[in-house]
Amino acid sequence: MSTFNAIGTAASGVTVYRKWLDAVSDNIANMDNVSKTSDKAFQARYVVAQEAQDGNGAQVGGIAYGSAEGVLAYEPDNPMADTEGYVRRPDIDLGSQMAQLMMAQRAYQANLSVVDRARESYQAAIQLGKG
Amino acid sequence: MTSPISALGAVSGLSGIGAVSGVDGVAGAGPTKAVTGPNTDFAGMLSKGLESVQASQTKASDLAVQVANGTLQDPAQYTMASTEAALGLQLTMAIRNKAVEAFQEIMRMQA
Amino acid sequence: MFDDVASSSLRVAVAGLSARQNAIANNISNIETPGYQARKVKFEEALSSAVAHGQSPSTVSPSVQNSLEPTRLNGNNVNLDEETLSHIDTTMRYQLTLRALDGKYGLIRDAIKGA
Repeated sequence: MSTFNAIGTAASGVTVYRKWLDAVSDNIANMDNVSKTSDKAFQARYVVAQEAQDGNGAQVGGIAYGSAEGVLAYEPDNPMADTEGYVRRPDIDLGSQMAQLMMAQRAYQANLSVVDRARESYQAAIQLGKG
Repeated sequence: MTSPISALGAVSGLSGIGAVSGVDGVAGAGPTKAVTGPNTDFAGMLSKGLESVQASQTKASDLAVQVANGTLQDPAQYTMASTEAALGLQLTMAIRNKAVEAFQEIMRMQA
Repeated sequence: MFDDVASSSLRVAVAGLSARQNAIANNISNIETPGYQARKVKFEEALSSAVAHGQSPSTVSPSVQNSLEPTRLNGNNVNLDEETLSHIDTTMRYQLTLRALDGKYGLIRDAIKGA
């Protein structure tokens, strides 16, 4: 707890959603990665949010990973293809990632609005009794 | 009104001391009761008022230390305490000035 | 007259918060500087412990440390949102601290004026 606690609380939310935005953009950037069937596919990262230990706001509890199996795609012309013509692609759904991107973006903005409102209230508290 | 001190009790501005001390019954103290009523001992009333002003100053100082080291929970608590302390001091000054004025007035009457 | 615990604590806090504002401005200017480590100014713990142990708060001076946040690929670890929010927090604490110091001086001014 500090003097302007609401700002710290909102700041913890901002940090969580920044990390979520980073994870989603990383997932989208890597969604077309191709690997050999003998290697792992790129694993999508999912941020796990949880309540902060001190009860003020949120924190990143950990990172969950998507499937390393990915999906097998038949691309015989691909230089990475195995003898049967298959390559491994990550199992990432662009639609789901875009939905997450919007959720993370909105939540990031919502937390920043909380900062703005809290700042107005605190400014009023600081000015209390002055004129 | 033989003694100048009991005359001071009649100064109307003193009823405002209730705002400082929160002691009941002070505002109702009329000039005639001033001599006999239990709540109207002027010296006691004044010292209670001063104690309360002192307490509000101490509270404001404690909260100021919390402002400095960032442990203050709510900024409004400090600004309120600080305003109360400042008003308490100003009210004390006003009462003292009124009392001195009244005393001088009485001295002039006797002269 | 000006060396009571509250007044000297407030003066230390003003110096510390001012140093923090400088550090934040520096961090934000270096947001893309490769290898730059964000700087954090600390004084609150030292101030609290000085007050708790009855030492004079005026002996406390703010300390600057490098941030332990994870670095990005270019070795930089400045987070714009953290710095911006810290800037808001520091600005308001600076205002409140100056307000408190002003209150202390105001009491003395009132006592001198006596009106």
